[in-house]
Amino acid sequence: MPKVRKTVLNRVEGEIQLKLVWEKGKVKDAFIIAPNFRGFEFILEEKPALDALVINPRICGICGHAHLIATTKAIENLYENAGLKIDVPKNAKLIRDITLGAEIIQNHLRWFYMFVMPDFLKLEKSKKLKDFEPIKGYKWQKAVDFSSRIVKVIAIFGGQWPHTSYSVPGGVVCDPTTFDLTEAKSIVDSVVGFAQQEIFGMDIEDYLSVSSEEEYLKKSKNSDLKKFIFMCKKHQLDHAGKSYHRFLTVCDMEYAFSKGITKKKRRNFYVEKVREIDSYSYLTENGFSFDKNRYSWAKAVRYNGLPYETSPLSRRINSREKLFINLLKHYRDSYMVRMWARIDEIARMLYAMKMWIESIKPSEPFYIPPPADIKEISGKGVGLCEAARGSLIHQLTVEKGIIKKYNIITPSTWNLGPRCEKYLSPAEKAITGIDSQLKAEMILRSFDVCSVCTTH
Amino acid sequence: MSKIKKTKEERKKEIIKAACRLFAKKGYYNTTIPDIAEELGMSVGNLYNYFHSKEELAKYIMQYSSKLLGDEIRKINEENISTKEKIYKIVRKFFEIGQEQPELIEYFLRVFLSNREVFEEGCEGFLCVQEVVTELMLFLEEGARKGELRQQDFFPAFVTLMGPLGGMVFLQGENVLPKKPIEYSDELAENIWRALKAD
Amino acid sequence: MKTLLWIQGLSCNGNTQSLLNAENPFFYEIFQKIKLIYHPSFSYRENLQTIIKKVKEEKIKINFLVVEGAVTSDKRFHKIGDYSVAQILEILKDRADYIIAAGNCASFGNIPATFSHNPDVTGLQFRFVQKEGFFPPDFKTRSGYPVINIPGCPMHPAWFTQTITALLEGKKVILDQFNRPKELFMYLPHDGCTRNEYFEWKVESEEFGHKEGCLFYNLGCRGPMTHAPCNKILWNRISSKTRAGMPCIGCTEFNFPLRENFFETKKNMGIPEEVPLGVSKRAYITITGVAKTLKNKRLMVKLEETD
Ligand code: SF4
Ligand code: SF4
Repeated sequence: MPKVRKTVLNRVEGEIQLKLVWEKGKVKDAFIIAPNFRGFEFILEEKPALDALVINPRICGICGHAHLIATTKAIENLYENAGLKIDVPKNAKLIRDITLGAEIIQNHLRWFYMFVMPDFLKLEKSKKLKDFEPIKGYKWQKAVDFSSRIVKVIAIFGGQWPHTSYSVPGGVVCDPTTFDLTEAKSIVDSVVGFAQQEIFGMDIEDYLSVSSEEEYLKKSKNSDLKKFIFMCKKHQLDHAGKSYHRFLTVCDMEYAFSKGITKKKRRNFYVEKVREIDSYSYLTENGFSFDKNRYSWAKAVRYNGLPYETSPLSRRINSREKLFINLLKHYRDSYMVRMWARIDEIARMLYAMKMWIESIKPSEPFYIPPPADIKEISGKGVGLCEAARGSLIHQLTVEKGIIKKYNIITPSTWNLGPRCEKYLSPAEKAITGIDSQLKAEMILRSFDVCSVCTTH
Repeated sequence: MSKIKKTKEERKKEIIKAACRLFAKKGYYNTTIPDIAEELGMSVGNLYNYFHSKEELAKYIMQYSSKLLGDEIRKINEENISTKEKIYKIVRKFFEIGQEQPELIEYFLRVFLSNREVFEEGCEGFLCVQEVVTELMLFLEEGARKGELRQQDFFPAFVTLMGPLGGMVFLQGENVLPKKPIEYSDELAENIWRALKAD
Repeated sequence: MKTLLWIQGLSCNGNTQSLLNAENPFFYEIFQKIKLIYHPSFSYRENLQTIIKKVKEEKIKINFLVVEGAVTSDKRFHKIGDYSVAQILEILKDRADYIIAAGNCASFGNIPATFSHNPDVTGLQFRFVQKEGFFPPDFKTRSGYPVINIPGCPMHPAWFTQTITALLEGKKVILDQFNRPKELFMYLPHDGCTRNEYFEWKVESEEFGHKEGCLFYNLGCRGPMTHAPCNKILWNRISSKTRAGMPCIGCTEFNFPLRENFFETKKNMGIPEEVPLGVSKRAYITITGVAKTLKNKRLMVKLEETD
C-alpha cells in the first residue's frame, strides 16, 4: 500500500503543502497544494484600468515589481491594439529594466542564502556551514545586507521597494539627475564586489565567459557557488530532480537573455499557444469548485498542450548560453543545474544593470503622455515580463477604461501548478522518484517556490 | 479705543462713497485726492492719513466691496438649503447691494474693469476680489459635489454665474432697463440654474 | 530573552521583505535582542504545529505575536497546516504580551478584504474604518495594549523595529485613533516632500516624468491627507514615492484600497474635493488663489535652468 504524507513547507514565499505518495521508499506521486487565495483577478474587475498599477504589485512582496512592469506593458499593449501606439522613451525602458534587474538580484540573493542553504545545514549536519545559519551566520547576514542594498536602486528611481507603482503607461514617473545615476552605479558596484568575493570567487566578467563546469571549478577561488556544487555532488543532487527538459521564456532583456521556447530545438514563443487548464484547480470557468480531485488554487498552464519549466535556467537555455547547454548535456535539468542558473543570473543581471545605467541620457525624456485618455480606450492587452522566477503574463480586457477581465499567469503557476489530465506540473514531475522527504522538499524549493504568486 | 476705531472705519466708508461718486462722474484719471477731500469737506493732509495714494484708495475700494459681497455670499453658502435656492439668493443679494450702494457696482464696472493698469501691482488676477471668488468657488464645488450642478471647469461656471449679473447692471447704467434689476432677479436666477444644473 | 512569533494570513509577504531591508537596527540585529521562535520564511528546524503545542503547554512564552496579512476563518481560502489563521489567533491571543499587526492587511483588511467571494476577511481589530476586525473592539492583550497597528502597504521596516525596540525598553507607545504609534503616524508624507515649494506656490505637475511640480492637484497625491512619516524616515533610506515622482496613494490609511483612480485628483468644478488635513476648503482656496497670482519665478522653469 502506498503511504501518503502531507507536509507544510517553510522557507518559501507564503504557504505551500506537499503531499507525497510513497511506495517502496520512493516518491510515486507528488501533489503541490497551494491552499491560499486572495482573488486578485476578481478584485480587479470593474476597477479603472490604471488602478491595476497600484493593486497588482501587491500580489507578491518579493517580485511585485515584475507585476508592475507586466501591468504597464499590458496597458501599453491595449493602447497599441486600439491603434494608439505609445512610443515609450528609451530612458524609461532602461529604467524599467534596471529596477527589474535589481529586484531579480535581490530575490536570488535572499532565495539562495535564506531559503536554500538552510536545507544543506540539515543535510550536512557539519559545523563547516555555520556561516549559513539563519540570522546568526555571517553569510546569511551579508545576504541581508546586499539584497537590501541592491533594492536601493529601485528606491532611487521608484521611491521605494517593495510596492512602488512608478512605472506607468508612457514611461516612468521619475526624472533622475546625473548623480542619481552615479549613486545607482555605486550600489551596483558594491554588490558586484560581494558577488565576486563570496558567490563566484572570481571577477564576474570572467565568470560570464566560463563555458564549462571544469573551467569554473578550475578558475574560481573558494566561493559559495563552488561549495554548493560540491555539496550537490556529494548528495547526488547533481542528477536528481529532473523535469521535462522543456524551457520557456517570454521576453528579451538586452545584455541578459532572449526569449523563446526550447523543446528539442529552440523556437519562437507565441502567446496564443498558452492555455490554462482547470481540471485540478478550485478555480473553474464559472467560479469555484471544491470537488475531491481538485487540490490547488492554481491552474495548470500548458504551451501547445505541454508543460514547460520557466525559470532562470529557461532563460539561459533559450539564450543558448554555452555553460548551461553544456551542463544540460551532462546533467539534464537537475536540481543542481536549475539552482546554478539562478545563482548565475546574479552575475548576468549585475553586468546588465551596469550597461543599462550607462545608457541613460538624463537630458532626454522619461515619460510621454499616452495619446488618449484611458477612459476612451476599449479592447484587450497582453503584458509579458520575465520575473525572478520566470515568465509572467498579464492579460486584460477593458471597456472605456474599466477592467472587465484580468488574467494573470505567473512563473510559479507554470512550474508549481497542479497537473492536467495528461501531465504533472514540472515541479511535481521533478519530485517523483526521489527517495527522501528532505530532498523532495529541496527539489521543490529549487523552483524558488512563491505561493502568493502561484495563486494570487 | 473701539469707539475711535469704529469712527475711523466709518470715515473710510464715507471716503469710499465720495471717491466712487467722483470717479464715476469725472473719470478715474481726472479725479485728484484734493477733489475728494473737498467733496468730503476734509483737509488733504487728513485724507492722506487714511490713504497714501489714489491707487491705494482705488484698491481698497475693490477689497472693501469684495469683502462686503463675499461676506453675504458666505452667509448664503452656510445655509442648509439646496443649490438652486442658493443661486436665487445670491442673485437677489447682488442686486440688493447694487440698489443700496449703487456707487460700488458702478465703480467696479467703470473703474476697476476699465483701468486695469491701476490695479497691476498688488492686485494681480483675482487678488482684490479674493473673497467673492473664494465664496463662489466653494459654492460651485459644493453644488457639483452634491451632484446638483454639472461637473465642468471652474471658469466657464464662474462666468455663467457672474456674467448675467454684470450684464444687467451694465444695461441699467445705460438706462435701457424698463424695470429695476432686482425685479428680474428670479428670472435671471432661473436661467443661471438651468445653465449650470446637472443633467 | 524576549520572544517573537510571526504568522502570516492572507498576504503578499511584502512586510517580511520590507523588514529585511531594515537598518538601525538591521534585521539580524533586532533578532539578536529578541528570540525569533518562528517565522514561516526563516525557520528551518521548527514547525508551527509543534510550537503551538508547546505554547499551549506553556513550555514556550510569547512576548510579541506579529501577524502579517488579513484574517479569515474560511479554510477554503486560507490554511496554515490544518489550522485557519483565525484558529491560531484564538489559541494565541491571550498568550502574548503584545499583538502587532504588521502592514495594512493585518491592520485594516486591505486588498484581501475587498474580495467579494470571501466576505469573512478582516484586519485584526479593524475592518477598514470600522472596529469590526477579528478581535472585538475592546480587546486588549495582557500588556494592556490593543492590537498595535503598523499599517503601510508594506510597512516601513523602521516603523516596526522602532516600535518593538521601544516596547522592549519598556517605553510607553502612544497610539492614535487607529491604534497606530502616534509619534510615527502624526506626520504626513507631505511633511518633508521635495515638492513642497511647488505645492505652496501651486505649481502643479500636469504629467509624470519631471522633478518639478507638485502631484496634488492633477495626479492624485494623498501626501497631505495621509498619516505616515515617509518623507521623514525615507524608504530604503534613500527616497520616497513623492520624491521620485509618484503620487502618494495613502497606503497607511484604513481606506487605502477602497479608493479609485489613484492617479487622478477628484475635483468638482476644478476644485479638489479633498483638501489638506487641518485646512478648511475656504482657507485652501484663499491661499491657493493668492499663491497662484503671486508667482515664484524659480519654480516656473526646469530646476537645471534656475538662477
Ligand atoms: S507631491 Fe504630494 S506630498 Fe509632495 S508636496 Fe505635493 S502634495 Fe505634498
Ligand atoms: S508615500 Fe503614501 S503611498 Fe507611499 S508609502 Fe507613504 S503613505 Fe504609502
